[in-house]
Amino acid sequence: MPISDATPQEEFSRAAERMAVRALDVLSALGGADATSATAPHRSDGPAAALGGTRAELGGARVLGADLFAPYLLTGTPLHPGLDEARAMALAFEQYPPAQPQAPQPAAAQPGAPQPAVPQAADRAASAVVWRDWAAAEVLGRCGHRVPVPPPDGHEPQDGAADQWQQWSVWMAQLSPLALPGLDSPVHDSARRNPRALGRGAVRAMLRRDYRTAARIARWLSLGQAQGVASPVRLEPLLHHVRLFGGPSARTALDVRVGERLAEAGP
Amino acid sequence: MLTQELTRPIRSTSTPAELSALATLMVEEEATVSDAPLYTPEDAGVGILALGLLLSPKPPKNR
Repeated sequence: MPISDATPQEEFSRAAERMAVRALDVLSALGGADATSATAPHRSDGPAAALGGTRAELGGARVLGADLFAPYLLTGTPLHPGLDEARAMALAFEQYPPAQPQAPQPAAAQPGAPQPAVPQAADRAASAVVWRDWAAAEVLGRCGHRVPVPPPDGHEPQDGAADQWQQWSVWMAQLSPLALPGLDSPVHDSARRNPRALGRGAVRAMLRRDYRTAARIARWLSLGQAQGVASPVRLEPLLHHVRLFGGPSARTALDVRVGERLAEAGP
Repeated sequence: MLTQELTRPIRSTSTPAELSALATLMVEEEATVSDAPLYTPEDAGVGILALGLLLSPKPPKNR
């Protein structure tokens, strides 16, 4: 039994970084080569190829969510139950099942006070977790593994949420694993309707030198651009700058790479 | 049959601390960095003056 002083958060964070490195490697392998031959090394052909063998790796898979399958969705590679990622994610959902759904609590009613379109921080976090679980389960279902995940009913972004663009863009950054081709939801509709708010959020993050948030928001702009929604900011220099100054995080690198691939795809 | 295939469902043994850590990592907030650095000319002036004094050559000695 390994002895470690690391907290679960530290272990999961490191495992998520390793998973992101793996996703980047898979994306590189699938990006240039023939898809069918490139998928072969990522199947479970032996114990050394197994993924999700430790609790930390399962936690890392849950943290990464749908991004674990980003290389396949970006390259249009068929998903199947034999993928290491699919097995690991199915195990991760068994080990760390999603929380029971809780509808966002309405704000304390004050007479005459307008209802906020953007939920408070705690509700935003809960909504983000619900949507991320939904996305991971959706992709996993396409692999042939069904996992019980509560539907995201009641967590849809409300009309006018993007008017409070600072909070809304941070919420969208938390939902960046949903910004993948092939996924569609009310969150995606909201992103397509509000490119200007996303652009403001991305520029604000760049000015704050919070490159991780900038990369996550830029993914939504790139996805919109790939779907014909013009981005209010030029994505190529933004992503290039984040790639240069975004630090050593593999998760940030994965966000940047996904954004670049989506932007390259074009409408 | 693949030898590494699971033949029994695993039972969740997650702890509240692990679930809390997962939720925290999944909803990563924006970084708590400061805003862009502001231009403060008075700081720059004092710094340049001090640097100039430190780097200035010593006066020649009279013999």
